[in-house]
Amino acid sequence: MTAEKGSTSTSLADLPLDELIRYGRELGLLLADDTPQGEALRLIRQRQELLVSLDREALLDIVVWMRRPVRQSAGKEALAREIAGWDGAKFTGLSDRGLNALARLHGIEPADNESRGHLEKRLAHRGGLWGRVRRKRRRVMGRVVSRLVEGDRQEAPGEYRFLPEDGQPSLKREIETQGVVGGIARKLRGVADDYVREKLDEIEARIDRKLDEIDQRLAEWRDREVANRLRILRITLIFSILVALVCLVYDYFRPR
Amino acid sequence: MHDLTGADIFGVYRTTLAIVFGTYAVVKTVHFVLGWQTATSRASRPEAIMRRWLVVSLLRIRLRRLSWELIKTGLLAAVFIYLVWVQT
Repeated sequence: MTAEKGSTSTSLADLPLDELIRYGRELGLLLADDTPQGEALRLIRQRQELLVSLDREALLDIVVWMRRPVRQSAGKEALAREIAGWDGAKFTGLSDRGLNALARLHGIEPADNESRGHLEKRLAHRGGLWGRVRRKRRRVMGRVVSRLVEGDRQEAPGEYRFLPEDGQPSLKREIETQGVVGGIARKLRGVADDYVREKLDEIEARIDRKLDEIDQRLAEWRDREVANRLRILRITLIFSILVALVCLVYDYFRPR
Repeated sequence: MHDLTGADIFGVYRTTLAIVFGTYAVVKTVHFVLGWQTATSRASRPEAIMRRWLVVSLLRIRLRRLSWELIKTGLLAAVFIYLVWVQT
């Protein structure tokens, strides 16, 4: 564990600043683009130490409560990545240990014998006034957009289910349950399936990259279009102002 | 700039311009809004997809990148409104 931690620290120190900042953000840190390398490194190590001290079950409680898709065996870092983007202010249904862990991940240290209500309040007030305004705005926006996209139908969420675990049963187990021929055939089929799945994943990744490129181009086109419209509006306004000024000068010199 | 009847030609020109272009702008805007409203309020699948795409596109406009343009437009609009108010 120490050797592993040592190698992680070394590789972290070797990372370029942008990678370091991205990694820190993935873990839920609020890092500005111009954060100095040393500071980013220090904060990331601090976050890793915090993750070590947190209970994995508590993190799992949060992810299940957030209904994010994870494997039951997911590590603390993977769970922290899922939690990182969360910016809500409602905690109904979250366990106490989950709430404590969530507070600590947001830099709020729960005091001894602190009531749940008080901790919820502190967590809801994080980020100051602007944080609260931003969350309120998102809540309103979420309501409007979901009404636009989904209409009035409100489906109750079903029971949470973890993602299936990786890995297949061993050959021994296959032969035990399927017989020699069936077991070997099943194992071979599994290998072939794995190969096909791998290839399909590669194709999917390539399609995703292409779609991302198209999306990027569309976004640039949209921004350019909006900027163009604004420019036209500005030109119209400039001419309107010029005409208004001419009118004003005329009114001033007009014989009364 | 008075003619023989005593009417202010510049004033008439100004009022005509305001009425014609004001009406044109209002009609074009209403037409545009109604067109989009009709196109996106249908219940069929293509229109529903189009509606979602529009909502997502609107939400993804990077206002921060356009903030300087928006500030300039806002300032010009404020100057224009002030000039109109001065003349009324």
